[in-house]
Amino acid sequence: MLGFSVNGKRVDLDVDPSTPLLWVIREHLGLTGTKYGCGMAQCGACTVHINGEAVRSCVAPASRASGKAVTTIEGLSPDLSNPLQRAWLEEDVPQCGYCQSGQLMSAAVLLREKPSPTDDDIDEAMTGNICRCGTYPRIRRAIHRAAEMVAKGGAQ
Amino acid sequence: MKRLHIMVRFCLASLIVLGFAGALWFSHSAAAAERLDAPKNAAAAASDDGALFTAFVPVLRHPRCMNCHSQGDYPRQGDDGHPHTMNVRRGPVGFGVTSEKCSTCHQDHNLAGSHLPPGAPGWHLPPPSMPMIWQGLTDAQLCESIKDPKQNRNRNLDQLVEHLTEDKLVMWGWNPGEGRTPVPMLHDEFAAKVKQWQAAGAPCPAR
Amino acid sequence: MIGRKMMGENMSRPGAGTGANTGIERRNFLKFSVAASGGLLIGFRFPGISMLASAQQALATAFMPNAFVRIGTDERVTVIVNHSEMGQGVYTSLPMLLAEELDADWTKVGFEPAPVDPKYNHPAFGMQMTGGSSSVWSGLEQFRQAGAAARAMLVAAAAQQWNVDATSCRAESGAVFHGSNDKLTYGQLVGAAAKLTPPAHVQLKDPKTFKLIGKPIKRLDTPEKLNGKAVFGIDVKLLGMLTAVIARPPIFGAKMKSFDDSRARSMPGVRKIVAVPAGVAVIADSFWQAKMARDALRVEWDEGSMASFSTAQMMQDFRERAKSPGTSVRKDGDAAAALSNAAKKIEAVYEAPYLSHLMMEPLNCVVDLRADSCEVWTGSQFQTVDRANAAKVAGLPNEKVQLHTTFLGGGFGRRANPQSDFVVEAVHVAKAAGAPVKVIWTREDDMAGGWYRPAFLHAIEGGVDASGNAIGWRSRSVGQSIMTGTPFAAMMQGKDYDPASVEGIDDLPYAIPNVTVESHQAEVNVPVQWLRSVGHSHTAFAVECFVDELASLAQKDPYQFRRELLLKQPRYLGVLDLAAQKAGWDKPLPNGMGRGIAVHFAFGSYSAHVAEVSVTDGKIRVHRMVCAIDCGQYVNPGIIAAQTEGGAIFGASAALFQELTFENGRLQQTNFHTFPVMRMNECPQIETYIVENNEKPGGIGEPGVPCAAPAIANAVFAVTGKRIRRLPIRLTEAV
Repeated sequence: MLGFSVNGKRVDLDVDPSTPLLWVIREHLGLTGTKYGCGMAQCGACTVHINGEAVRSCVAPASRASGKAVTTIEGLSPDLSNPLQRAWLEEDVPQCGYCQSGQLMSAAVLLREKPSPTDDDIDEAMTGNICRCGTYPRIRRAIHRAAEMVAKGGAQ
Repeated sequence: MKRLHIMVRFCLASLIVLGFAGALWFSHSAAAAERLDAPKNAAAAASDDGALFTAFVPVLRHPRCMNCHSQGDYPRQGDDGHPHTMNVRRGPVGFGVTSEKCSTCHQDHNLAGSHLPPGAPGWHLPPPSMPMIWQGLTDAQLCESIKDPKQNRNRNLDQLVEHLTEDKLVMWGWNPGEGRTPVPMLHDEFAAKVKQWQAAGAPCPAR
Repeated sequence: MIGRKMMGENMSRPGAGTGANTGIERRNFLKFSVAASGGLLIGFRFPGISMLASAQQALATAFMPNAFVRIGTDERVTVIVNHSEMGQGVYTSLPMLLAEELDADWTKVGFEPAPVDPKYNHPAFGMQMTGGSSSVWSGLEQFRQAGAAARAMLVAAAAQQWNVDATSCRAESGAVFHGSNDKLTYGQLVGAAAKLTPPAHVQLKDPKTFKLIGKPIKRLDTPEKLNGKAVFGIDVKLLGMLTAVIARPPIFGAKMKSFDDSRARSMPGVRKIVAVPAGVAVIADSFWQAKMARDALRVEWDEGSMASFSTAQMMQDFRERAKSPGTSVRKDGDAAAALSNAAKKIEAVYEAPYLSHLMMEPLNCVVDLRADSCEVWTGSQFQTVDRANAAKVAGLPNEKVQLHTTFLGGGFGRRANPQSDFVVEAVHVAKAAGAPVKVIWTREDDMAGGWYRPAFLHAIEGGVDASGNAIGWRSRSVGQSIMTGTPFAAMMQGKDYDPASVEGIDDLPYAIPNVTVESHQAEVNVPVQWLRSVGHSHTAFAVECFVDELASLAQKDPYQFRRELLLKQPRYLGVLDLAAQKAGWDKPLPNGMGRGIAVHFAFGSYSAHVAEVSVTDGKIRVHRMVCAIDCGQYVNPGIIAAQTEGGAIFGASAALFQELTFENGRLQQTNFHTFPVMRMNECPQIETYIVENNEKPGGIGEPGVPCAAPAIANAVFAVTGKRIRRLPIRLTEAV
């Protein structure tokens, strides 16, 4: 049995612990917001948090989550109220949308550790997340916008 | 005079090698430690040219080691030592930055399959406060730098040898995962040479 | 995506507001659109709405005057969209058209993907599909008419209730008003309006009164793309569903001889291992189990005739081929004579490699096959074709096959496959599975799966006279047809060349008196198809780089040289001038930096890019791209900017990084590490400027792509003095 929490809920699963966390999240837990893109930590579409740190779930064995707290895109906020989600809405970031869960999860760690990120900080945090539609300029703007929202007190 | 010198060196070296065979036999035993401390006189002689250090330096200079001990504020990849893709940085403590930390992709073990992120416990770079950059150093400088507690995370010689021969991240160099060249020396041979060097008082090559 | 030309010459483009009756459908449509899913879909929302909720709502309490809109008593306006949402914004731009004429309350407007039905055929292409950057211009009339008809019926229903003349009522923001006191919301009018007959003709709005069209309205599909709720094909889950991964041939045309599944068979979760036309399918309880077992299979292949195929040799063959005359595509004047009389001339050979579409969502398809029905869930760009191909394999009539269009995690043309490869194989697997099944392609499967943008070579010769005027042009293109051998070969319209191979060269706009364009069709057994901007993705590179070379030959500034040759082409000139002006073409750049310019027409729109590039330590960096776009009348400038930015990045990725190569018949690239996509730290600052005019609307999904490569290549020349003649750009190959 493998036990951990997902978006605050305790789960105990009978899965092969070497299965990548991505597939456990998608197939066993039914949380399909986390995406498969490459299976080799090249694209970032599968990014989740384990104990608050960004992890490419496509290469992390499920056992890595054992006893830890996993957050997926579904747990970023219950109601799109996370400043990043609000900024993403205001900048109309997504096109096809497939990579955006991973983009947001990466950006969330960036913003927590660097509340006022520079463009270089964004480059250093977000270069592991590919967007084939080319939404990078908007992601950049949205991260800056979210940072401003947080600076102004989080709520607007 | 010169001939004698060579002869003495040869004999001393043979003794040390024999001693080392024993050390390997008893590896991890207390006996090994005693034996390593034994040939103290050998040290001074060998320090003349640092051959004991250069004997294992190809391992330190191999891309598996050098890619994390290289110039710049980032790790490198591949046998050509190209900068790590995805703009990965050293970060404030050597574990990457924000959402691109080492552990974002690297596990505590290698993953099956080529081109998948390699892994070992504590996958990281030296911290920026003590970046342990070896690239561009001469053998002499490299030797001095790894011995210098101000540059090696306050390790004394024993701790340094332990790091070089037992640290799980360093050991990864012998088991780097599918598609990567391991360091160019068997681990036992490397460990023996490091300990031989230690036993000789860790002599460094002359400049 | 499908180039408009390929679809035949007969497709007339409906002009805006011509008042033509597009045939508004009766309400019997309702039965079709909301037929409840036979498969048991678990806990999933489809784009826009819940299937079940919509069905119930529609049956009980909805007004559905035509195939494109449903209004509920809860005031919700659901626009049924016949094009697939793959990032280009059709789930917003098409509802905007309808909501504009409906005078809907935009906050109540939602969308729903259309089922497969001739009602939803592309008005110009005659089948249900998404491609050719055509959704907005082709849907303009359809969606506006549908909205206007619904509004007329709601107004009539209100007028009836108030017993007043309909002309004395007005509609606004989801309600009908009469005088200053009477107001009935659309929701309140649902029952009464449903009893009325749709009008035969409706009056469309005067564009001056538009409230939505032309405004940068936020996309309707954004919220569900920010919380993981949007359902892509790969996210569909049915009760009892199994997952399959297929061992596919390592070489195109290779046939499975035998397979050894002794290890794979006993691996956990494995249900069945079966030979299918696509290879050997491993059907298991979950993806990872299926993939692990697939990787444990030992398959022996009859490698076939492509076992020695190499792209290096192929390009060498192309170079040889280009030395002899090809099929004539265009002949103005006498290029041969002009070139032999030229004061100065130059020859250059441009090469572009095979490219993968590389959608972020790898191909996948879910099939629930029953004795007398088949349901398919997938991100399709080709619903009519996919359904028909699925029906053929299922052995069922088309009507027994339902195809549900999910969100597409990128399309770029790959999901409009002439053979429906990813759908057909899933039906084959479903036959063996005996349960609903999802076939997932790994990234590696997807990249090696073929249907690439074909590799192309363009050999061009040009000359100028003593005063530097361009007087002759002769180009020969060599490459595979994306039409020949497909069901779309008929669209070549009897031409002995594939128009998609030379689109963008055949309409060379420059005032050069003597022009010869020739085409050689190469026969290579690598499956190829349309990729975002199709032929323009390589022809613009060749044409715009060569025009730059001619400018050098004439010792003229590349922007001014183009201007002089485009004086009679106002829309080309418009975007060219706009991009040059906004980029500050004449302003000096720091040392080590340079600018390049390119202009192109594709899919009904004109585009120009200026790229600013630096070259340091052998590394190219694109710092800024200034894009001017003229797509005529537009619907949503926010989406136009997004598509232009995305197009520039898509084109720049190909220009800087991307190439598929084959050795011994095997693809050398496998995943993003060997076929890279531009990343955040490589992405330039991008500015988009839209030309305002009243011209016929053009496309926007693709026109942003073609100029990127030549603008960057020309900028590299500006910095290094060396010409780039092959993509991806490698400084070591510059001449």
